[in-house]
Amino acid sequence: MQRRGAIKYLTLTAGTLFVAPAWATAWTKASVGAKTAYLSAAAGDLLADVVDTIIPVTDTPGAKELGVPGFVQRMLTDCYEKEVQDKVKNGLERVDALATESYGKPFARADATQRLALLTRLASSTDTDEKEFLALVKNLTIQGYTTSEYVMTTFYHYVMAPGHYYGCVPVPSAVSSAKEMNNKR
Amino acid sequence: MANLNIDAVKAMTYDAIVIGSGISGGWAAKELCEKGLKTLVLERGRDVKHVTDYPTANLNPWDFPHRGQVPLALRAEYGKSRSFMREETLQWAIKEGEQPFVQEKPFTWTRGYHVGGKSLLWARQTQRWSDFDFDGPARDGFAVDWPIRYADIAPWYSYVEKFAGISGNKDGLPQLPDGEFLPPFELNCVEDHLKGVLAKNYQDRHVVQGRCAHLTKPQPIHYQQGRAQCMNRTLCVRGCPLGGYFSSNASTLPWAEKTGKMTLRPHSVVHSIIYDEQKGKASGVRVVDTNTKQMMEFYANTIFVNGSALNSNLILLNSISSRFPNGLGNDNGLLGKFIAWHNYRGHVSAQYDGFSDKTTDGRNPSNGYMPRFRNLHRQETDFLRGYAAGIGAGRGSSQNRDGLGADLKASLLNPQIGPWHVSSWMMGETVPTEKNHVRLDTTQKDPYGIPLLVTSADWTENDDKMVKDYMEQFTEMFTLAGFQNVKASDSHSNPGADIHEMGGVRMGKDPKTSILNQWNQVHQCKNVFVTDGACMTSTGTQNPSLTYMALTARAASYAVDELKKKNR
Repeated sequence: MQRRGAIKYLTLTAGTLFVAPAWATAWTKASVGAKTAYLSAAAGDLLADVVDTIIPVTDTPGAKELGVPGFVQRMLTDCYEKEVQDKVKNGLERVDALATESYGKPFARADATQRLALLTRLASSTDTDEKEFLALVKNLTIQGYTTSEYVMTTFYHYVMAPGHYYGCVPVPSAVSSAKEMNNKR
Repeated sequence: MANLNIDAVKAMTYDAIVIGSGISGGWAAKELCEKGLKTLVLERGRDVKHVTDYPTANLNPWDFPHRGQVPLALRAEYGKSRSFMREETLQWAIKEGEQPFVQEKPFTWTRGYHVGGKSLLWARQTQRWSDFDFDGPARDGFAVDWPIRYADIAPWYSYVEKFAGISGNKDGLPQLPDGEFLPPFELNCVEDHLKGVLAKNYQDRHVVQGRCAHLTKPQPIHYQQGRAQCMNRTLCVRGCPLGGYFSSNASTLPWAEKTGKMTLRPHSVVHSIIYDEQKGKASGVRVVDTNTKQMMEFYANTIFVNGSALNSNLILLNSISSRFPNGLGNDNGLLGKFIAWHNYRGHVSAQYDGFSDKTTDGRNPSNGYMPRFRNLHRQETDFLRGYAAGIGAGRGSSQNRDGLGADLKASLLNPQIGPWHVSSWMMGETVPTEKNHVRLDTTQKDPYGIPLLVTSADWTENDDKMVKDYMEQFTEMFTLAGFQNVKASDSHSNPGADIHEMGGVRMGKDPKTSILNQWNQVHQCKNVFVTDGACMTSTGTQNPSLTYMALTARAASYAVDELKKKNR
């Protein structure tokens, strides 16, 4: 009987763990952003193509496959002032206009070489708006890509709880021991 | 009716009341409950239960929708505050309007308004004071003489260290007394190199591993608290689900709760302490419930004030009675005066090309530490007192971010290890002056009807000279060690940016020149004890929390002994 009582108690306790107290609304994924995206669906698709051109698929997944376009748009929607948002919106329009001008088709239908050439032109453009547009989208793309689970665990050997600190080890072992640690998990 | 009133009062009556649940309040709660006192612990913020109320503790970097950056709309709710403005730590930030204060001179006031207070947010460094610190005011002629010396507090340092769990190395330095240590974290190659160079070139400059409140090798007493070994996550400020570092939430509060003697009441802002003119002592506290905005009264014969340094000043200043028209225990008019803090303005950084084949592995929750060497045995500079310094070295890695497309991607996936970076930050003693003070605003009140606190504290010439000396000395030491690109800077940060504000309710021998006696008792109201940063007569150079813990345990022991004597 005592045992049953204990189990009942545990269940109750466990149950309470999952009831978020009122204050916890200060931190939920829903509360930290996730508003409606400010770009139209079409502009969002174009942004995804730009992001995927900045970091394309090779023998490893590109930015698009890792969900980076969603991250970039979330950042733009939630963390930037309207004037920056407008700059990106205009920049995207400019991307399509340039593609049509140069290749006779929208960016989405340009091939990979054409897309890369176009963005490279923007990166060194003498037009400040074009240059800033690309720099911002590129920075956010890099941020989203390098902090993705795939890149952090596969390439950067991210470990939340290393369980040790060694103050003086040969350079390569830091990498290999992190790998080892990851493999154990 | 009379009986009903008696019953109502009885329901609101405890043996002891502790104001605040932070690092010192938690200790007061533990000690008083363990000694059998029915104790009410009041916390102005919400409850934070160990583990379950650390919402971000186990999240990976990619789990944060904005990778840590707080969305603009959410940011707006916190006004100009920049403290804890990250997705990882937003749960600790204080919303705009919660407690405005008047900065007569610029002051940075970081507050922890939730159960556990700043014990969840601290840097966890725990260096002991020595007699070089306690002797300071008397030797150098400032403030007043401390009523205690190292010998008075040493056993209490040991007492709290064993329970809290302090890692450190026994270094045998009189200016940094050894304690009850769990194994230390290690210095890395460059920190160790600096240590060696300084030992060769100076008599008095020691680099040691900072002692810190981390369980490097938990003992039975720590397992009994439900805590486990530190796993070097260094995500401490989110709250540690392992209890790997000491906090009220992981340690003292659950311990107090287990006694069955503790009542923890969150959402309770203390307005003032009630003084009973007939009995000539305090009889309880007035509390504003933050949900109902109703004023309530609770009663007890022993009151511990642990509201954090400036808030404890605020509570005493607002505790007005016929006997104490200027604040509780304030016959001498010194309450709120002689506020001091730590001078963290100086920073020196460098690079090092040596040990290029070596690096670190894992993460270090602590850092190197240099105890004070200036004016230690005698006055030798044109400024009073001196500074300790934190020292940390490490190698970062970076990626080439040039280009676009597959080239960029290849660079990003091949981070290159960079040179060693070394940095040092000063922790200077500030000399308390009467001019640096806090007081109540005469007209403006906060949302709970409590007068706003006015902060009036500024740097002095002594502080400026000390920053200059720190920058010169660390530039010299870093240069001797062969470091390159040595850069010294003075942040000119606001007082308080160190989060070590102290004083205003200082301890002393003489009721004419101090508010508290050698047991942290208000001289003129003996059943009120103040054992947080407010009690500090001078500031030393050490991170102060360990000293607050020891003073609290000592005062609680004394308080209960006195009660027992009277019962006899």
